[in-house]
Amino acid sequence: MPLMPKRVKFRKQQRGKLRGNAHRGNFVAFGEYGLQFLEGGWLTARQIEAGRIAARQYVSREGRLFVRVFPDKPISKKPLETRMGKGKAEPEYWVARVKPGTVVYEILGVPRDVARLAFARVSHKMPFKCRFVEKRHA
Amino acid sequence: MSTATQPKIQAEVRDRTGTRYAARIRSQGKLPAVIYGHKKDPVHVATDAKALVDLLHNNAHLIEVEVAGKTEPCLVKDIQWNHLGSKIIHIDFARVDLTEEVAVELEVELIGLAAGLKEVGAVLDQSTNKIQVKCRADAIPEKLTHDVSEMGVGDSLLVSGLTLPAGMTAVSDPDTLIAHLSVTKVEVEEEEEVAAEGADEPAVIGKAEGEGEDKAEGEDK
Repeated sequence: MPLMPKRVKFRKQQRGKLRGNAHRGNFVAFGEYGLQFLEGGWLTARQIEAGRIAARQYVSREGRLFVRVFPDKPISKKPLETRMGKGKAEPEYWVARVKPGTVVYEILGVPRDVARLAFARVSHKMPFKCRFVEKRHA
Repeated sequence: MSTATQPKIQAEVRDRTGTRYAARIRSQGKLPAVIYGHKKDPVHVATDAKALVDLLHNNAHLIEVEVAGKTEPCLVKDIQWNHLGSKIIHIDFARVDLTEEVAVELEVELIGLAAGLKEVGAVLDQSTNKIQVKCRADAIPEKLTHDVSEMGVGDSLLVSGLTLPAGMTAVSDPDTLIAHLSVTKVEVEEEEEVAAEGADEPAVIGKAEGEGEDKAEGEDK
């Protein structure tokens, strides 16, 4: 089941703007290796879940996987063959806003080559360019 | 441990500061930096980027910076990275006296293979990689090492459990967790549970059950 909030203050949101780069959540904080996004945009809950399953299936029971983003923005969509107007449509799905530099997945307790292959599989599920990163030591 | 001779780097004074001038300096293969502390005026400098980054990758904390023929020992106080975390864009140096005690953040490296890792699904989770310590400026080690070969499943390593070199005290909270060895549980697919709850839409805070938005809109009209 894709992620979504349990409780919200308002059911619908305006689209908003997504400007600039990530200045938070842009380094590997919990694991040893991570998948960093090089582009920004909306990452849907289904895409997050697809990536999580792809990584989890590859490493099976080994290691620990962290998902660093949460889809907290509802996106409305009008039903097919509906005329324009009559107010804002119902929320259809949830997205996380991702800026360039955001580390979306992290993994801990697996060898480097395994982590690299796992994230290569995840990157095929992602709608943006991404790259493999390691924990910063300097 | 640091040797008696500290790594040395040359720097030149920057006359103009600001985003654009800093960007120009970076394009020339230099790195903008600032030196401050000891109740003296701050000095904006530019250093050779490659030499300084090499020093930092080797965990140098204390660097002798030569500016206009005058050398002063400086502590690497802060490092700024670009948004992708791939390039250093600015360094803060703090002037220090070699005999004074300074607070510095040191990396904790866990060495050895923990005994508990032989169990299937066991993971050594190092939740804290750096801790704050206090020691003499001329006795700052590159990093702290701790042998975890005796750690079993369920064991934890706290800051208080680290063996620090003589003359060094931990500033970080002694109860801070550094590493924990645990066995990961098999992830249970939660699909059925969520489907049973029927939670396809989140609850709205401040609205009673059954009081939908549509109803409220209808009343307005």
